[in-house]
Amino acid sequence: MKKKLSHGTKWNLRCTLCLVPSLLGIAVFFFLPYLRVLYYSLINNQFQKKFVGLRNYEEVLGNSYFQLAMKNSLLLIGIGVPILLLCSLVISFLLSFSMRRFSFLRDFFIFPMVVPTAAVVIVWQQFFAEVDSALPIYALFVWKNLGLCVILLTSALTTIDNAVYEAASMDGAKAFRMHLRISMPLITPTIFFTLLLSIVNTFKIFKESFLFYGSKYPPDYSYTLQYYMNNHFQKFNYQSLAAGSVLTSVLVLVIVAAGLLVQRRFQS
Amino acid sequence: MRKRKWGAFLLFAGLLLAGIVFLVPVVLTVIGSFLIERNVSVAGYRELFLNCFPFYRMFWNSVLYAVSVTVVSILISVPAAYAFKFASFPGKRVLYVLYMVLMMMPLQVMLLPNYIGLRDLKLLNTPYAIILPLLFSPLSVVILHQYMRECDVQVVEAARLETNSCIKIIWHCIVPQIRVCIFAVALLVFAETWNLVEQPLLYLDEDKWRNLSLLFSEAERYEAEVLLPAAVLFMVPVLLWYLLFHDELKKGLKL
Repeated sequence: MKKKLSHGTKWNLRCTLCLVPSLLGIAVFFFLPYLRVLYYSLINNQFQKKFVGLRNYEEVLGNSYFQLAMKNSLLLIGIGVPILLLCSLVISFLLSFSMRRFSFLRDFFIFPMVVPTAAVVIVWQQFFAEVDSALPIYALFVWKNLGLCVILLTSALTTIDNAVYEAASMDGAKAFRMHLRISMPLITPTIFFTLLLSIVNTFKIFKESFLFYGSKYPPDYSYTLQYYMNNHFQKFNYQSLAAGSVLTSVLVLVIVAAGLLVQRRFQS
Repeated sequence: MRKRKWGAFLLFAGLLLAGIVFLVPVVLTVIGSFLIERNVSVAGYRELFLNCFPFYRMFWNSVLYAVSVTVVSILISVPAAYAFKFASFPGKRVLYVLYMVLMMMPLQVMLLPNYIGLRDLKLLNTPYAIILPLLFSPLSVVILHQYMRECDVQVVEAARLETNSCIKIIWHCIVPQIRVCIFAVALLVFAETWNLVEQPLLYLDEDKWRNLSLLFSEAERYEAEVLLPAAVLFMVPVLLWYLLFHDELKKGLKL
């Protein structure tokens, strides 16, 4: 018995070792540098290394450009994400039920997921040349992210047992009400995860906005964190950069943690 | 009954229209590349091939980054996902949550940490500055692990009687079961790496290692007529991948 146990332990150790390359890379390129960034955000500069507490944070939070970038991100979360989610829900329901025969249409929506934005941005610039608002960025956001949402939602919808619907339609439930009462609750965890992922993906749109405006300075409504970061990178202003990075990561962490907590609540 | 048919038709038409709208940017890019001052012409392509020398170097740099990152990151992520599924060690759940959080972190948060890490390793201004951080994508590990939840464990247990090698078990028992997911992840990683913009801008000083996406972010450095032809050629490799593996992409992502 004892021998078998040690055999199992050895096997377990081997399995654990499979994680080492990935973990090592994450530690070297993400985790340890992040700790240094945390340290940078608390000192006055790299040469004197004097501890200044939260002064860098105060400075960043008071900076009007950082505020502008944050405001634009929150607006995208508040307006862009609900639009994205609503569109993808409608499309997913149509593709999974009433339009099942035409599910090839799904490819149309998934396609932009892999198309490099750098390539279509020229057309985008020409098409939206006259528009004086953040609309082109919102459009890019929906265009780019709808595919992933549709994939996740349709694959959740197809796992629902057909018997559920048969039973419901025997009771005379209408299609729309049936989906509202039965399908929606069944895929709530997936909807929720899609929502979380979409919120996080609003930060990824920085690349698209950066490409869209090129090296021109963006209008206020499209100023994003990427511009703030680029400015400070050019000035080698690591303290502000560090504080900005830490603040953003805390914001994302709060969103993700809140999301996971709510989801756990739902399930229990 | 007839009313319902009309309703279904309208829904289908609406959906088809929406789908076509999604293709428009790509189609316009292709059409635009053959138009010069409203005349059909291949002059843009000729200019690109004969006079725009940076294009070749940038294209091959993109290929180098995308291929190496895709291949190596899969080789690293599959065993890592396997370990999350089959190994038990203290702190496994916490570590997995850490991977999930890292996966959701926007790139902007990690730019400075990455920059500092690369600077200390003296890797800035080399292709490794682009490749190395991307190899350890937490996203791939999480997607692969989620897909592995549905793996048949009995196959692994049966194979354990024959071998003690994790590599053999991953190769013969796990990989065939998650093949679809591996292709989906590979396609996503390839598309991401192909579209890199921020990292080469910040981590590379010289033009020598820049990739093709920068041709569009610094468009004013090049002739206007080569941009759309270059954009079309830029899309081709990803589109080929997509045509080959779009079924896998749809089936392989379950989160």
